[in-house]
Amino acid sequence: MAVNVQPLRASQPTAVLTVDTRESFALLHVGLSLTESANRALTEAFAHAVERSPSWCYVVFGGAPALRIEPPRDSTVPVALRPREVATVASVSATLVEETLRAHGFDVRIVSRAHEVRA
Amino acid sequence: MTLADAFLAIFPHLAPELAAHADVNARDLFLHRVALIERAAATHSVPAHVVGAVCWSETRLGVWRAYASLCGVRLNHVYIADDTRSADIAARTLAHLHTQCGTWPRALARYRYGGACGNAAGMGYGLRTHGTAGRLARAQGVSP
Repeated sequence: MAVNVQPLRASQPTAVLTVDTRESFALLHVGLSLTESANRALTEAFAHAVERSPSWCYVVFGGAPALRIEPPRDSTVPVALRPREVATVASVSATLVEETLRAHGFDVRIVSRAHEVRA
Repeated sequence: MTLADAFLAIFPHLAPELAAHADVNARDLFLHRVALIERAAATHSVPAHVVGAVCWSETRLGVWRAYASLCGVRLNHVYIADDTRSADIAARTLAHLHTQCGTWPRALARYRYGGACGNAAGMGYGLRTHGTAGRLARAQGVSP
């Protein structure tokens, strides 16, 4: 019996980074299919981000993979400058996560960049 | 149900945080801030649950961390530290944006990210914040 076997397509895995910056904190969501290799890449990416800003950045457990960035309770950064600092740390963390995922062969798309609110 | 009660109802982790806070006035401060938001919303004829959701999205109303501006309002690169003014400008801006954009999610996306109504970068924020507003409205027993 003839069997029509389709070759597996070696497609590049995709990750979508969403940087959601608010006034006093930021959330960095990563959307990707959680295979074992993706899990390893994500763990490494988050570890780099947390290592870079240990008191500002931590992993959110439960739900989609995410990092939360906010000033520590004993932060010495003046309150008026915190939103800008949050945006900066969020931007740096996003870059670290992006670079690590790319190094693991992911096609990374960034949905939104850190942004400050205005009225 | 008041807006403050609605916040406490939909965020079960809020009341324990207020009770455990080092500042003994944390609960009074929270109620005061919510009252300012309700007053600003009434002044500009905007649903209080929408303004409340925006301020919650921006700063968690200062329950966990100090903020530069209650509702994340910045004018000429300076954050508006005065709570009354921050809530008032946020409500006024939201009223204006809703008129321009037609729907709340599109207005909220523009409020946060600027650009056109329904700015793609801000639609995630817009939809999430609108979701919070809807939950607050349902808890209050008003139409979202």
